[in-house]
Amino acid sequence: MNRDRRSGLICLTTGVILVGVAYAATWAAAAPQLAAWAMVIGIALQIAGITVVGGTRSNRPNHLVLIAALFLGTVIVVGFGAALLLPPESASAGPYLLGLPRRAAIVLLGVGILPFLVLPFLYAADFDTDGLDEASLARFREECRVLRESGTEGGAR
Amino acid sequence: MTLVPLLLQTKPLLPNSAPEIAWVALFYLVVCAGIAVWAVRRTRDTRDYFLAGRGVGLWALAIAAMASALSGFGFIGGPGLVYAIGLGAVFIVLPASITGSMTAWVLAKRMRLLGEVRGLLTIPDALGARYRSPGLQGLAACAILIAIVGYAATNFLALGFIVDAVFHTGLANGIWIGAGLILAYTAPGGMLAGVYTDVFQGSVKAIASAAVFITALQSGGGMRRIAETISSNDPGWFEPWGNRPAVAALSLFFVFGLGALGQPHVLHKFYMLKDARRLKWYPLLMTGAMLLALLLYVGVGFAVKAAVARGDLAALGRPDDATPTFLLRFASPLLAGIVFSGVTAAIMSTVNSFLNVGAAAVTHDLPIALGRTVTRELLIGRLVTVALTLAGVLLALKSGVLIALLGIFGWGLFASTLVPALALGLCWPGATRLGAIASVSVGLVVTLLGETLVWSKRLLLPAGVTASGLALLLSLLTFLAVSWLTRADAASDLDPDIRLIMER
Repeated sequence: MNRDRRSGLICLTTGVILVGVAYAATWAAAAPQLAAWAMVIGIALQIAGITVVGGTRSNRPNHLVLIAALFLGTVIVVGFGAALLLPPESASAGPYLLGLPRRAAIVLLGVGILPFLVLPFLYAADFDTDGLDEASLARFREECRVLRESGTEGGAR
Repeated sequence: MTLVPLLLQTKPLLPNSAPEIAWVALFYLVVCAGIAVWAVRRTRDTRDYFLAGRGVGLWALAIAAMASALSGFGFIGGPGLVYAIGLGAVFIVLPASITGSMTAWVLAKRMRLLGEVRGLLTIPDALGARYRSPGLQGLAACAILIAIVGYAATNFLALGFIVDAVFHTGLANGIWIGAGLILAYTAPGGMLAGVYTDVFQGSVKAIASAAVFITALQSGGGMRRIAETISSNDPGWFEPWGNRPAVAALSLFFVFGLGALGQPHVLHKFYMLKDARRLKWYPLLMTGAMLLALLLYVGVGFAVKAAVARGDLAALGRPDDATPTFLLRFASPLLAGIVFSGVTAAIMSTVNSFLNVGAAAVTHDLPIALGRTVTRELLIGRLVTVALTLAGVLLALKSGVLIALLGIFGWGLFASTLVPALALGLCWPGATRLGAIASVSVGLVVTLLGETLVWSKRLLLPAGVTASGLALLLSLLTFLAVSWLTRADAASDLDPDIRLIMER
């Protein structure tokens, strides 16, 4: 299997397990801080992992997808991690960031807006339009038809 | 605990007393009707009916996807939830900046190519093709159908409340009128009518939302003033997780972030794109439109909470009153009319997509699973759309426990049954048919059982653990574990053309 895809799957699986750990810790009413961190890291690994698995094509490394996944994981861990670690703000003294209490700003703007300013452009840069015009798609349809007919004789479908 | 009931609009709204609101709403409905008539005249076959003739442009695709993803909850229930529990409620929509790009990387191109190569019509079709399994296609269709009927019923009820609030029709008449309006263009025009009304409806949503956000900031004297007022009155509200534990907010991010990869009424629009090359800018347009439409969700919640803290508004009797109260108190009748139209638009566009997906499940997927062929698919599709609407309306009229119970299955079922098998399965050649069947089954059973037990109070989950989250988690684990255990079958479960598509 492609190395990037395997790494993505490992990240995803680890992330799923960590979210399970977070749920178990919450259910047992034990270590809420541990549960929160397990959830943060678990979510980051899942989302980064599935992006890598989804963005990997054929057997070549895809640096833009890896950058996107790294960016996503970092935004989630840093954004939610800062919210967990930074001290609470005071209503009068703040600190405020763009009109919001600092931790709220990090979550709302850092996790809620920042990815929008980066990810769509990484996706566009990564998107390969070659082979997607009408003529190429017609050839691709034919190629797939031949493959299917040669590979599925006696298959379930 | 379960948070999903909060996603449902099951209570009457504040009645409208300004005639301008009714006029704007009427104008909106006339435009929708005009678009529908135009589209209906162009619907000639099942490809038009279920896939808008595969002729949809990028702008239409992005806005229609946003419109069907964002139901009336984004305008009524969501702001109310923000008002009630603070920033923790924003975690439902916080993943929106990520999900458009993530969905594009994982599914967009593959779904579009699958549609191209196999001529697929539905999401269960994709599962059937991926795993060479008509049985799995039928199982997924059943899960989708259960989710859709309940979800549609709750949306009919919400629409009934809005029609009643704007036109003073009474709830039952409001439900019938609302359902009739949707049916009028969905049954004859299918997805072709749906997509183009979605474009108009999505635009109304985004414009209304942006205008309300500006009004909300002005009403509170700017974001800093709003934050200071709320924080001095209720210090926990502006905590990053609101008035809830961190895990509860993060759990929402998990379910609504990853769950976005399993929403059939959004995903099957990828089949409809005319030119696959245009997918390049899909995440930018879809996410931009979504974030714009979500401004109201945050803005109204903040502004109403600040107004109550300042003493400008009395504390709300119910959180769901946040948007109507804000509009009646701070917005002009014209803007209020546009927003009420936006809410109506949100509900109509979501229900329209549900009905179309449901009709396709009955007329296309279930017969394939049973080894039958349906002739006159277009006619049957229209009849099934009518039948699903009637089922939804009758459930909505019954109201009470039954409808809420059915409604809560919707979102969780989509996520837990489709995310692993579809999203992961379409980009991981190692996934197996048994893994997919086990995962869909676990998602179905855990969601139905979990939500029922929680709803009937036989199971008490701690804050942060939701039945939908558990179902998604267990479904993912099952998919990974069973696929790994049966990995020797992976190659034989995958047709070579599908493998080729996965690598494009």
